[in-house]
Amino acid sequence: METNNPHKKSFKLEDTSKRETFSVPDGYFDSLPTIIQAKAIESTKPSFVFSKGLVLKLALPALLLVFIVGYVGYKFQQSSPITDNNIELMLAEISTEEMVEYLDQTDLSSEDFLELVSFEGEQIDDFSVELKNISDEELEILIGDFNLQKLENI
Amino acid sequence: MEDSELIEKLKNEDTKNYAFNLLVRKYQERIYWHIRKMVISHEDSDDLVQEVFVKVWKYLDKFRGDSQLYTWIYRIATNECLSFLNKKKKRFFLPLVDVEKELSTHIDSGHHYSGDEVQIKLQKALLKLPDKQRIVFNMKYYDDMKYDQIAEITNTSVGALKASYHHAVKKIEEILTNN
Repeated sequence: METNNPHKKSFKLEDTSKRETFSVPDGYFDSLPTIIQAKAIESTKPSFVFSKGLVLKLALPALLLVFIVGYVGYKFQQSSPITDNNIELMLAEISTEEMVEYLDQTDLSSEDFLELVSFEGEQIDDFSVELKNISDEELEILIGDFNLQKLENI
Repeated sequence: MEDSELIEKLKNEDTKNYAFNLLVRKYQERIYWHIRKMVISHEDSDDLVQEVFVKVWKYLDKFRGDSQLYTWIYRIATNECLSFLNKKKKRFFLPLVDVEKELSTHIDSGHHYSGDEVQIKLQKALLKLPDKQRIVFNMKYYDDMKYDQIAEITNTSVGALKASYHHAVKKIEEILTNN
Protein backbone atom coordinates (compact mmCIF):
# COMPACT_ATOMS: atom_id res chain seq x y z
CA MET A 1 0.00 0.00 0.00
CA GLU A 2 1.26 3.46 -0.86
CA THR A 3 1.65 5.93 1.94
CA ASN A 4 2.83 9.53 2.11
CA ASN A 5 5.62 8.69 4.54
CA PRO A 6 8.34 6.55 2.87
CA HIS A 7 9.62 5.35 6.30
CA LYS A 8 6.18 4.13 7.34
CA LYS A 9 5.85 0.35 7.12
CA SER A 10 2.70 -0.74 5.31
CA PHE A 11 0.54 -3.16 7.18
CA LYS A 12 -0.46 -6.29 5.29
CA LEU A 13 -3.22 -8.44 6.67
CA GLU A 14 -1.83 -11.55 5.03
CA ASP A 15 1.38 -11.15 7.06
CA THR A 16 -0.51 -11.26 10.32
CA SER A 17 -1.16 -14.49 12.15
CA LYS A 18 -4.79 -15.32 12.90
CA ARG A 19 -4.24 -15.75 16.60
CA GLU A 20 -7.30 -15.62 18.82
CA THR A 21 -7.50 -12.27 20.59
CA PHE A 22 -10.18 -13.23 23.08
CA SER A 23 -10.35 -15.78 25.85
CA VAL A 24 -13.07 -17.26 28.06
CA PRO A 25 -13.18 -18.20 31.77
CA ASP A 26 -11.85 -21.67 32.59
CA GLY A 27 -14.36 -24.46 31.96
CA TYR A 28 -16.79 -22.09 30.27
CA PHE A 29 -17.63 -24.40 27.36
CA ASP A 30 -18.02 -27.40 29.69
CA SER A 31 -20.83 -25.80 31.64
CA LEU A 32 -22.51 -23.88 28.81
CA PRO A 33 -24.56 -26.80 27.33
CA THR A 34 -26.20 -27.51 30.71
CA ILE A 35 -27.11 -23.83 31.17
CA ILE A 36 -28.49 -23.58 27.64
CA GLN A 37 -30.47 -26.81 27.93
CA ALA A 38 -32.10 -25.68 31.19
CA LYS A 39 -32.94 -22.29 29.70
CA ALA A 40 -34.34 -23.83 26.52
CA ILE A 41 -36.64 -26.20 28.39
CA GLU A 42 -37.74 -23.37 30.69
CA SER A 43 -38.56 -21.19 27.68
CA THR A 44 -41.09 -23.67 26.30
CA LYS A 45 -43.03 -23.99 29.57
CA PRO A 46 -46.36 -22.18 29.31
CA SER A 47 -46.31 -19.07 31.45
CA PHE A 48 -48.98 -16.57 32.34
CA VAL A 49 -47.70 -13.15 31.47
CA PHE A 50 -49.52 -9.92 32.19
CA SER A 51 -49.24 -8.15 28.90
CA LYS A 52 -50.57 -4.64 28.38
CA GLY A 53 -53.29 -6.02 26.14
CA LEU A 54 -54.39 -8.60 28.70
CA VAL A 55 -54.46 -6.04 31.53
CA LEU A 56 -56.62 -3.74 29.39
CA LYS A 57 -58.90 -6.62 28.42
CA LEU A 58 -59.46 -7.53 32.08
CA ALA A 59 -59.67 -4.03 33.47
CA LEU A 60 -61.87 -2.46 30.80
CA PRO A 61 -65.22 -4.09 31.78
CA ALA A 62 -64.60 -3.32 35.47
CA LEU A 63 -63.69 0.28 34.68
CA LEU A 64 -66.75 0.62 32.47
CA LEU A 65 -69.01 -0.73 35.23
CA VAL A 66 -67.50 1.65 37.81
CA PHE A 67 -68.01 4.53 35.41
CA ILE A 68 -71.66 3.63 34.68
CA VAL A 69 -72.54 3.12 38.36
CA GLY A 70 -70.78 6.36 39.29
CA TYR A 71 -72.52 8.30 36.53
CA VAL A 72 -76.00 6.92 37.34
CA GLY A 73 -75.46 7.57 41.06
CA TYR A 74 -74.29 11.10 40.40
CA LYS A 75 -77.27 11.83 38.12
CA PHE A 76 -79.70 10.36 40.64
CA GLN A 77 -78.25 12.45 43.45
CA GLN A 78 -78.43 15.57 41.29
CA SER A 79 -82.07 14.99 40.32
CA SER A 80 -83.30 14.25 43.87
CA PRO A 81 -81.21 15.88 46.56
CA ILE A 82 -82.33 14.84 50.04
CA THR A 83 -83.55 17.99 51.80
CA ASP A 84 -85.94 18.64 54.71
CA ASN A 85 -88.57 19.82 52.23
CA ASN A 86 -88.30 16.59 50.27
CA ILE A 87 -88.72 14.49 53.38
CA GLU A 88 -91.81 16.44 54.40
CA LEU A 89 -93.29 16.03 50.94
CA MET A 90 -92.56 12.32 50.94
CA LEU A 91 -94.15 11.89 54.37
CA ALA A 92 -97.20 13.93 53.32
CA GLU A 93 -97.86 11.39 50.58
CA ILE A 94 -98.13 8.57 53.14
CA SER A 95 -101.58 8.14 54.69
CA THR A 96 -102.03 8.01 58.48
CA GLU A 97 -103.35 4.44 58.24
CA GLU A 98 -100.23 3.31 56.43
CA MET A 99 -98.05 4.97 59.05
CA VAL A 100 -99.95 3.38 61.93
CA GLU A 101 -99.80 -0.01 60.24
CA TYR A 102 -96.06 0.38 59.68
CA LEU A 103 -95.44 1.41 63.29
CA ASP A 104 -97.61 -1.43 64.51
CA GLN A 105 -95.60 -3.99 62.56
CA THR A 106 -92.24 -2.45 63.41
CA ASP A 107 -90.65 -3.32 66.68
CA LEU A 108 -89.91 0.25 67.80
CA SER A 109 -89.69 1.11 71.47
CA SER A 110 -90.41 4.45 73.09
CA GLU A 111 -86.65 4.86 73.61
CA ASP A 112 -86.19 4.63 69.86
CA PHE A 113 -88.66 7.48 69.36
CA LEU A 114 -87.04 9.57 72.07
CA GLU A 115 -83.62 9.06 70.53
CA LEU A 116 -84.84 10.26 67.15
CA VAL A 117 -87.00 13.16 68.28
CA SER A 118 -85.89 16.06 70.39
CA PHE A 119 -88.48 18.34 71.87
CA GLU A 120 -87.94 21.81 73.18
CA GLY A 121 -89.77 23.28 76.20
CA GLU A 122 -92.50 25.13 74.29
CA GLN A 123 -93.22 22.12 72.04
CA ILE A 124 -93.74 19.93 75.12
CA ASP A 125 -96.20 22.48 76.49
CA ASP A 126 -98.11 22.48 73.16
CA PHE A 127 -98.17 18.71 73.24
CA SER A 128 -99.57 18.79 76.78
CA VAL A 129 -102.22 21.30 75.73
CA GLU A 130 -103.25 19.02 72.88
CA LEU A 131 -103.53 16.09 75.29
CA LYS A 132 -105.57 18.19 77.73
CA ASN A 133 -108.07 18.95 75.00
CA ILE A 134 -108.50 15.33 73.99
CA SER A 135 -111.75 13.61 74.83
CA ASP A 136 -111.92 10.40 76.90
CA GLU A 137 -113.07 8.40 73.88
CA GLU A 138 -110.20 9.67 71.76
CA LEU A 139 -107.80 8.84 74.59
CA GLU A 140 -109.10 5.29 74.79
CA ILE A 141 -108.49 4.82 71.05
CA LEU A 142 -105.05 6.36 71.34
CA ILE A 143 -104.01 4.13 74.24
CA GLY A 144 -105.35 1.11 72.41
CA ASP A 145 -103.00 1.78 69.47
CA PHE A 146 -99.90 1.69 71.67
CA ASN A 147 -98.09 -1.27 72.94
CA LEU A 148 -98.69 -0.93 76.68
CA GLN A 149 -96.09 -3.44 77.63
CA LYS A 150 -93.41 -1.23 76.17
CA LEU A 151 -94.80 1.87 77.84
CA GLU A 152 -94.40 0.23 81.22
CA ASN A 153 -90.67 0.39 80.81
CA ILE A 154 -90.45 4.12 80.44
CA MET B 1 -22.65 -36.96 14.49
CA GLU B 2 -23.75 -35.66 11.07
CA ASP B 3 -26.25 -32.81 10.96
CA SER B 4 -28.81 -34.91 9.08
CA GLU B 5 -28.75 -37.53 11.86
CA LEU B 6 -28.92 -34.77 14.46
CA ILE B 7 -32.01 -33.31 12.78
CA GLU B 8 -33.69 -36.71 12.74
CA LYS B 9 -33.08 -37.10 16.47
CA LEU B 10 -34.26 -33.53 17.15
CA LYS B 11 -37.57 -34.29 15.47
CA ASN B 12 -38.14 -37.32 17.66
CA GLU B 13 -39.62 -36.40 21.08
CA ASP B 14 -37.77 -39.28 22.78
CA THR B 15 -34.33 -38.19 21.56
CA LYS B 16 -34.94 -34.43 21.27
CA ASN B 17 -33.23 -33.40 24.53
CA TYR B 18 -30.21 -35.61 23.91
CA ALA B 19 -29.85 -34.41 20.32
CA PHE B 20 -30.12 -30.77 21.39
CA ASN B 21 -27.34 -31.28 23.90
CA LEU B 22 -25.17 -32.73 21.14
CA LEU B 23 -26.05 -29.85 18.83
CA VAL B 24 -25.04 -27.28 21.47
CA ARG B 25 -21.76 -29.10 22.11
CA LYS B 26 -21.05 -29.25 18.37
CA TYR B 27 -21.68 -25.58 17.59
CA GLN B 28 -21.32 -23.64 20.85
CA GLU B 29 -17.68 -22.61 20.31
CA ARG B 30 -18.07 -21.51 16.69
CA ILE B 31 -21.20 -19.53 17.52
CA TYR B 32 -19.66 -18.05 20.66
CA TRP B 33 -16.57 -16.78 18.80
CA HIS B 34 -18.71 -15.48 15.97
CA ILE B 35 -20.70 -13.44 18.50
CA ARG B 36 -17.71 -12.47 20.62
CA LYS B 37 -15.90 -10.86 17.68
CA MET B 38 -18.95 -8.71 17.09
CA VAL B 39 -19.99 -7.66 20.61
CA ILE B 40 -16.47 -7.90 22.16
CA SER B 41 -17.55 -8.32 25.81
CA HIS B 42 -17.60 -11.88 27.18
CA GLU B 43 -20.66 -11.18 29.33
CA ASP B 44 -22.71 -9.93 26.38
CA SER B 45 -21.49 -12.83 24.24
CA ASP B 46 -22.50 -15.28 26.95
CA ASP B 47 -26.04 -13.84 27.05
CA LEU B 48 -26.32 -13.85 23.28
CA VAL B 49 -25.01 -17.36 22.71
CA GLN B 50 -27.62 -18.63 25.18
CA GLU B 51 -30.33 -16.64 23.41
CA VAL B 52 -29.28 -18.07 20.04
CA PHE B 53 -29.56 -21.68 21.19
CA VAL B 54 -32.83 -21.04 23.02
CA LYS B 55 -34.19 -19.71 19.71
CA VAL B 56 -32.84 -22.75 17.90
CA TRP B 57 -34.72 -24.96 20.39
CA LYS B 58 -37.94 -22.93 20.10
CA TYR B 59 -37.99 -22.78 16.31
CA LEU B 60 -36.69 -26.25 15.53
CA ASP B 61 -40.11 -27.17 14.14
CA LYS B 62 -39.83 -24.31 11.66
CA PHE B 63 -36.46 -25.45 10.34
CA ARG B 64 -37.43 -26.88 6.95
CA GLY B 65 -34.00 -28.18 6.04
CA ASP B 66 -33.72 -25.97 2.93
CA SER B 67 -30.40 -24.73 4.24
CA GLN B 68 -27.78 -26.57 6.25
CA LEU B 69 -28.24 -26.67 10.01
CA TYR B 70 -25.09 -24.68 10.78
CA THR B 71 -26.08 -22.02 8.19
CA TRP B 72 -29.42 -21.64 9.94
CA ILE B 73 -27.79 -21.34 13.39
CA TYR B 74 -25.23 -18.86 12.06
CA ARG B 75 -28.04 -16.78 10.58
CA ILE B 76 -29.83 -16.64 13.95
CA ALA B 77 -26.56 -15.67 15.64
CA THR B 78 -25.82 -12.98 13.04
CA ASN B 79 -29.28 -11.48 13.46
CA GLU B 80 -28.93 -11.52 17.24
CA CYS B 81 -25.58 -9.69 17.02
CA LEU B 82 -26.84 -7.03 14.65
CA SER B 83 -30.00 -6.35 16.66
CA PHE B 84 -27.96 -6.26 19.89
CA LEU B 85 -25.61 -3.64 18.42
CA ASN B 86 -28.51 -1.64 16.98
CA LYS B 87 -30.26 -1.65 20.34
CA LYS B 88 -27.05 -0.53 22.01
CA LYS B 89 -26.78 2.44 19.67
CA LYS B 90 -30.44 3.39 20.09
CA ARG B 91 -30.54 2.89 23.86
CA PHE B 92 -27.77 5.31 24.60
CA PHE B 93 -28.56 7.69 21.72
CA LEU B 94 -24.92 7.38 20.84
CA PRO B 95 -23.39 7.96 17.42
CA LEU B 96 -21.46 5.03 15.91
CA VAL B 97 -18.10 6.38 17.06
CA ASP B 98 -19.13 6.22 20.74
CA VAL B 99 -20.24 2.58 20.57
CA GLU B 100 -16.91 1.86 18.85
CA LYS B 101 -15.15 3.66 21.71
CA GLU B 102 -17.09 1.66 24.29
CA LEU B 103 -16.23 -1.66 22.63
CA SER B 104 -12.63 -0.53 22.23
CA THR B 105 -12.46 0.18 25.98
CA HIS B 106 -13.54 -3.43 26.59
CA ILE B 107 -10.50 -4.61 24.63
CA ASP B 108 -8.20 -2.25 26.59
CA SER B 109 -9.55 -3.56 29.90
CA GLY B 110 -7.72 -6.83 29.20
CA HIS B 111 -10.52 -8.84 30.80
CA HIS B 112 -10.67 -12.18 28.91
CA TYR B 113 -8.26 -11.00 26.18
CA SER B 114 -5.17 -12.91 25.23
CA GLY B 115 -4.11 -11.33 21.93
CA ASP B 116 -0.78 -9.61 21.32
CA GLU B 117 -0.41 -5.94 20.47
CA VAL B 118 -0.98 -6.43 16.73
CA GLN B 119 -4.11 -8.50 17.33
CA ILE B 120 -5.51 -5.90 19.69
CA LYS B 121 -4.81 -3.16 17.14
CA LEU B 122 -6.49 -5.25 14.47
CA GLN B 123 -9.59 -5.72 16.63
CA LYS B 124 -9.74 -1.99 17.29
CA ALA B 125 -9.38 -1.25 13.56
CA LEU B 126 -12.23 -3.69 12.84
CA LEU B 127 -14.48 -1.71 15.17
CA LYS B 128 -14.21 1.20 12.73
CA LEU B 129 -16.00 -0.82 10.05
CA PRO B 130 -19.80 -0.84 9.68
CA ASP B 131 -21.36 -3.79 11.56
CA LYS B 132 -22.40 -5.71 8.43
CA GLN B 133 -18.98 -5.29 6.81
CA ARG B 134 -17.33 -6.41 10.04
CA ILE B 135 -19.47 -9.52 10.23
CA VAL B 136 -18.60 -10.44 6.63
CA PHE B 137 -14.90 -9.85 7.33
CA ASN B 138 -15.02 -12.06 10.43
CA MET B 139 -16.71 -14.95 8.64
CA LYS B 140 -14.26 -14.82 5.73
CA TYR B 141 -11.04 -14.01 7.55
CA TYR B 142 -11.39 -15.78 10.91
CA ASP B 143 -13.92 -18.55 10.15
CA ASP B 144 -12.54 -19.31 6.64
CA MET B 145 -16.04 -19.55 5.23
CA LYS B 146 -16.67 -19.67 1.52
CA TYR B 147 -18.47 -16.78 -0.10
CA ASP B 148 -21.49 -18.90 -1.04
CA GLN B 149 -21.85 -20.01 2.59
CA ILE B 150 -21.67 -16.39 3.79
CA ALA B 151 -24.15 -15.46 1.05
CA GLU B 152 -26.60 -18.04 2.38
CA ILE B 153 -26.25 -16.76 5.95
CA THR B 154 -26.46 -13.06 5.15
CA ASN B 155 -28.87 -13.42 2.24
CA THR B 156 -26.51 -11.34 0.06
CA SER B 157 -25.01 -11.97 -3.38
CA VAL B 158 -21.49 -13.41 -3.64
CA GLY B 159 -20.38 -10.42 -5.71
CA ALA B 160 -21.50 -7.94 -3.05
CA LEU B 161 -19.73 -9.99 -0.38
CA LYS B 162 -16.46 -10.09 -2.32
CA ALA B 163 -16.57 -6.32 -2.77
CA SER B 164 -17.43 -5.83 0.92
CA TYR B 165 -14.54 -8.04 2.06
CA HIS B 166 -11.97 -6.36 -0.17
CA HIS B 167 -13.11 -2.92 0.99
CA ALA B 168 -12.82 -4.07 4.59
CA VAL B 169 -9.27 -5.43 4.09
CA LYS B 170 -8.19 -2.20 2.37
CA LYS B 171 -9.63 -0.04 5.14
CA ILE B 172 -8.02 -2.12 7.91
CA GLU B 173 -4.60 -2.08 6.25
CA GLU B 174 -4.90 1.66 5.80
CA ILE B 175 -5.91 2.24 9.43
CA LEU B 176 -3.12 0.03 10.77
CA THR B 177 -0.50 1.50 8.46
CA ASN B 178 -1.34 5.02 9.62
CA ASN B 179 -1.60 3.97 13.26
